[in-house]
Amino acid sequence: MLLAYLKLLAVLLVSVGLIVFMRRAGTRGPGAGTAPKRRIVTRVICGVLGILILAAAAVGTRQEVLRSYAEAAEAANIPVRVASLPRPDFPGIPDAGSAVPVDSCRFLLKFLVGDQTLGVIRPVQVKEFELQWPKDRGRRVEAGLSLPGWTLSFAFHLNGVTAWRSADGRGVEVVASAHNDFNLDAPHHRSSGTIETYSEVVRLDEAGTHVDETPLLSVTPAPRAEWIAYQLLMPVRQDDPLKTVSLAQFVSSFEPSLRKEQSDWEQELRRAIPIQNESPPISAGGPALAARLGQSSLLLLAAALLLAQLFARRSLAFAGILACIVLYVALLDRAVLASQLARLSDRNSIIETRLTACAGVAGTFFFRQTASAGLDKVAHDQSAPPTLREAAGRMHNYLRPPEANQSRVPSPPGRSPVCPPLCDRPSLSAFAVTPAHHRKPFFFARALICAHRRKLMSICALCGSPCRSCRSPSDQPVVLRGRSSPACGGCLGGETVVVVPSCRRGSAFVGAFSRLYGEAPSHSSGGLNRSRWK
Amino acid sequence: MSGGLGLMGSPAEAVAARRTSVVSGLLWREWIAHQRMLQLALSVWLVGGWVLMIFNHPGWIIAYGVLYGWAAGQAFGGAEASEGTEEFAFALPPTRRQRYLARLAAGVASVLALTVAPLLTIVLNLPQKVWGLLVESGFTDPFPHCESRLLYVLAVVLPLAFFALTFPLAANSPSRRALGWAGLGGWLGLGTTGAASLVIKPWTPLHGYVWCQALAVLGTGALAAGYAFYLRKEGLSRPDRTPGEGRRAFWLFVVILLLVCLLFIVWSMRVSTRVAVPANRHAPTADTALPQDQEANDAARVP
Repeated sequence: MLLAYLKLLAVLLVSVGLIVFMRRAGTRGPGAGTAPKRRIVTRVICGVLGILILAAAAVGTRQEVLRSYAEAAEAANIPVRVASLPRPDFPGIPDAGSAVPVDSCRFLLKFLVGDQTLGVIRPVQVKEFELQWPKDRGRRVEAGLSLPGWTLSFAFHLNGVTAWRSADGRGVEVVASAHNDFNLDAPHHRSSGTIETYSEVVRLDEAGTHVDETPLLSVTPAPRAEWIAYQLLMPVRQDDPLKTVSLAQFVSSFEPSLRKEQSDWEQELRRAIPIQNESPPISAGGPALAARLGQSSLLLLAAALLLAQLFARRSLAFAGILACIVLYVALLDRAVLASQLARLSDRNSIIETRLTACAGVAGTFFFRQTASAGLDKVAHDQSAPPTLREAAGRMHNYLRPPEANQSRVPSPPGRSPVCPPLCDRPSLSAFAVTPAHHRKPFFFARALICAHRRKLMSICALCGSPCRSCRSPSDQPVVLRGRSSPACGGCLGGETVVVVPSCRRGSAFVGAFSRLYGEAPSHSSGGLNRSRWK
Repeated sequence: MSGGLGLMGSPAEAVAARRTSVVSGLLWREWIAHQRMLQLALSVWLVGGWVLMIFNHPGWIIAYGVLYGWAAGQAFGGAEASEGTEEFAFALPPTRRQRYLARLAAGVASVLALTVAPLLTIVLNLPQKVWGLLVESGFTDPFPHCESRLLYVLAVVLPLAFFALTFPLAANSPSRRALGWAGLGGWLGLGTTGAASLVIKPWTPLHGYVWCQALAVLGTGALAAGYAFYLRKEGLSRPDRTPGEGRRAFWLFVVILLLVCLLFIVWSMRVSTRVAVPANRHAPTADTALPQDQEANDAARVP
């Protein structure tokens, strides 16, 4: 800390020395005179306005930080009803693996939107309904959820309910035949579809990364969000009085089920690419700062112009004041980071607050190393909740500089690389220039990266084996073809290929592809002879 | 001045001292007269190069330097003409030769300072190092290094060439009206250079260095010719404007604008001609292939 102050002092002293020297050089000597200043009234007005803008930036930044915590706490504390008794039983089912229609049943239907930026699902909004079967047969439950720039509307109705005894004969599962027309409208993603529901938890859709614009008069950007929507249809007993819990408790108890809905493709992709399609801005200078500040940058520029009117040499004063304003923004950034790190490490805070702080820490522009060190500390803190440790580790990876990432190409613990040695042949020179944090031994990640670099054109089979998560004989591989170009030559040995099975998981991969890169690859389905790729 | 001469030992030393004091006085005069312009140029560099780090490539310095070279040529060369005091200035003790050379030296020094210093900051990543004393990221990562040395050379030569073209024109202009013509001459030179560069392609190394040498010869010749004319120039102090001048300037501006548009059209036609290759000259690539061609290509790729 002392060293930082000394550095600041040294820079200030040099700046003041330069100013004094130039002032003397410009005002001494024959014929030299002082440049005319603005009138005192003009200077007072400009000075007051400039200082007001700077003060408002500090206040706005503080309000923005507090608002993010308040919103997270508010969302986490939304009351939701859950079953207080065990699941309903249906004793009339004869054998294991058989099913019977259910005469009457009670359901709790929830539509949930969460944020999965940190790798864990943080609830944002929920709508819940209670349905009675068969009373509500054909009743359309219509509602919508809206977030900044993102709207999900749906129309749900039950068609039938079946009780099914599992093959091992132990459990009974209530399977609802339902119909849901949903419509998602996001800035860069629009989808609509129909889901025939047969399970309790259904992932409706996700809309990629969403970053709000930096609010006016704030130097802290709104936290990024990766929203994901679920539909949960849970059977409850008729005599269940239901209990009320907070949304955060509900989501944490249900998270394994929610996560199970993520396809293996996406889970591995998430491991391979810590934050989808984005890395922190590097070596960007003023334009990146302006992009980060959004409209606030114009206000700060105006403040510099106003304050420059206080001086006789306004052009030089503008340069100096602009430098001071950038330092001021850095100071605010450091203060916000210190506040976020304090909340992140505070063991007395609730988990939602700490997770919000974890997301906020990654938003720093000038102090990524400090942020990364703080996140690393929490990621290795055994006393921290596992969810928080996982989130902190994820954000730590996100903030690590590419040079640091180049040395780590680990496989996830206990997993063998997906690719056979064919994919790791030395001719894969494309990865020498690929952003290092993408450099993982998963062929689909590589393919996505190549596509991102517009070098991947025909996405076909690298390995010759279909996705290992789809080993069912009914899964036919699908060859995805993107745009083609001669530039493909340097990429993955000339033939960049991914086999995607035509099952739901493969479709999820295609969806992820189009969400990530804004264009869906064209499909060319057909029997792909596996041996010909070997 | 006379007291100073009294302290000198010999007449030769006294003459040399007087010459030095005249030259230093002329230089000081240039600083006093043009310090606002120099401060403005310095501020632009400080903001663009050090505070916001927009000037992180020699291309920026070429644009910045060319504009400054043009403005400095106008300002340093035609200061007295624009003020309408040239006739009286010639009556003062400094000779025309001293005036011309002192102003030329001041102008060239300023152009060099405002092009070489930004280039050095780019090469040495100095802004990032200074910001690195205070922050850890964002402003500290060095920008990608520009490998082309030619661009660095052009970033010095082009502004100097523009200065060398506009300075003698401005110095020999007898009034502000003619000074305006000199400025337009500079812009015409800029347009001609741009048009010629489309043909010469100075960004290729061989052409680029030949281009630089040609500009150096042209600039030196212009300065020498300007010097020769300046020695014989009739010092006049004319009114700023004459009747009808504004209208002529307007029509001149329109003609130049039309010429620029014409050049742009010709250039875009050249580019479009280069891109439009007959389709049957090449095998269809995947970008241009019909679906059946695409399938045929794919089938051929399968081992």
